[in-house]
Parts: sequence; C-alpha cells; structure tokens
Amino acid sequence: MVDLSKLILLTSVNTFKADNDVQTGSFVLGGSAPEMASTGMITRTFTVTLAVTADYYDIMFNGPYTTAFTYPNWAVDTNRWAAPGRGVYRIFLNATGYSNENIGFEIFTSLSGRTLTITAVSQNQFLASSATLTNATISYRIIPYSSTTQ
Amino acid sequence: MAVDLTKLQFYSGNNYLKRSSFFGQMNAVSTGYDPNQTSITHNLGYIPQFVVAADYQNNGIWWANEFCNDVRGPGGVTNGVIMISPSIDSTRFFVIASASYDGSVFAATRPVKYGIYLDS
Repeated sequence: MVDLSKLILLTSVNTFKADNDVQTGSFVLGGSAPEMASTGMITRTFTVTLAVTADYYDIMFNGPYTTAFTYPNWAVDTNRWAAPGRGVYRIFLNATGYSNENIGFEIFTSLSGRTLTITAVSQNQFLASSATLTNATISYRIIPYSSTTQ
Repeated sequence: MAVDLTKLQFYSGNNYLKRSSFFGQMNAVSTGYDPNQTSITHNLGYIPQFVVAADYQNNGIWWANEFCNDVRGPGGVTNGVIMISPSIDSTRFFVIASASYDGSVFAATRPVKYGIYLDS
C-alpha cells in the first residue's frame, strides 16, 4: 500500500534529491603561519570521503563565527552556520607571537568522486615574523544530492 | 478521482528543498571596515538551508556567490570590496556587510535576496 504521508510531490521531471545521508564531522583550523615574505597565502586543506556517491552537494560550516572586531578578542557567535561560496565565511583566528593580530579565512570546497576537499585560505599579513594561530574546531554538515537516488 | 500513479516518479521522506515563507529581500548596510549586521527572524527552531544573492555593485546584477572588484589601495582608493557574509542560526538569518577599507566612501547599502528552506 502506498504511504501517502510520504508523498511530497508528483512529477515526471528529474530533480536533485537530497538523500537522508547527511554527513557530519569536524576539522581543526589553526597551526602556524610563516611570515609573508615566504608565503603569500596561508592554506589549509582537509578531505572528507562521502559515504554515498553524489552528483551535487550542499555544505554548511559552524565554528567561531566572527561578528565584530573588538580588538584583541573578536566577538564570535558559535551558534551560526554559514555556507561557503555564498559570501565570505567569517572565521578570524587570533595569532599569538605577532601582537595578537588576527587573520580571516575563507573556505572553499570541491568534489571529485567521493572525495570532498575543503580548502581554507587566508591572505598572509605577517610582515616580520611567523605566528601561531589559535586553533578553532570547524564543524561541517554535508547534504549529498543525487539525480538518481531515491 | 483516483491518483494517477504513473506520474509518480518518487515518493519518500527525503528532503526536497521545500521553501519556507521566508523568501525576500533585505538590505546589507556597510558602514566601512567594521562589520555591520542586519537580520530577519525565521523562528524555525533548527538550522535550515538557505540561498542568498547580493547586488554587490548596486547595478542590478545579482551574484549568487562571492564577488570582488578592484582595490586601488590607501592613498588612491577609488574603489573597494563590499563583503557580504550571510549566516543562520535556529531563529535568525544574518547578513554582515563590511568594506575592505574604512571611510565614508565605503558606507553603502546593498540589496540582498534570501531564501530559507524548511529542510535542515
């Protein structure tokens, strides 16, 4: 018997369907940053293996989202989620060893097969010395879409 | 009338990006380098998915992703980047606007279109 309570729409047109296989996890953004003369960009790369094959995906991130510059400790909201590519993702890490400066990261993602690559990039601003960035745990939530999976 | 099941391609409890009533337009207001935030209340009680597009140049061209225009630097600043940062929590959708350079020349209002889905 057809369970009509599950009937959401009627269509003969294929659509991207979000699987219920939502995948979550986290990574730590931080480490050390060299002086600008040696590296113009600070890049962190993380990979996630999707549990299912996806044609497309949506991803959101949660972490110490920076809402205001209140030097030297930035105002953050840890309840927020943001999606890369839909604007600047506001993560600023304090950098000890360099006058408590801070750097902001943008996050990008790409998918090849089942390997999803997360790249966090920041323009290096440290002119004279290297710095140690305050680690921040960034959680992610991946929603795979498929044009064939039901 | 009987349901024509031949038209039924799928039926499941999966998500299909169902629209909420929170689709609309708001303004992102940049006051310079310091971030400035505006928000709308959705009160869904969970973290929903969303889409967003911004008219970064205020010229009728909508960007569904990030946008950069040229920066000519302090001393010769005639242009700069207005950054739009959308985010969401369980009750509100936020847009933060900030500029790459401080000063009244970068105080600007940019329209932002948003859409909040019911799916989490």
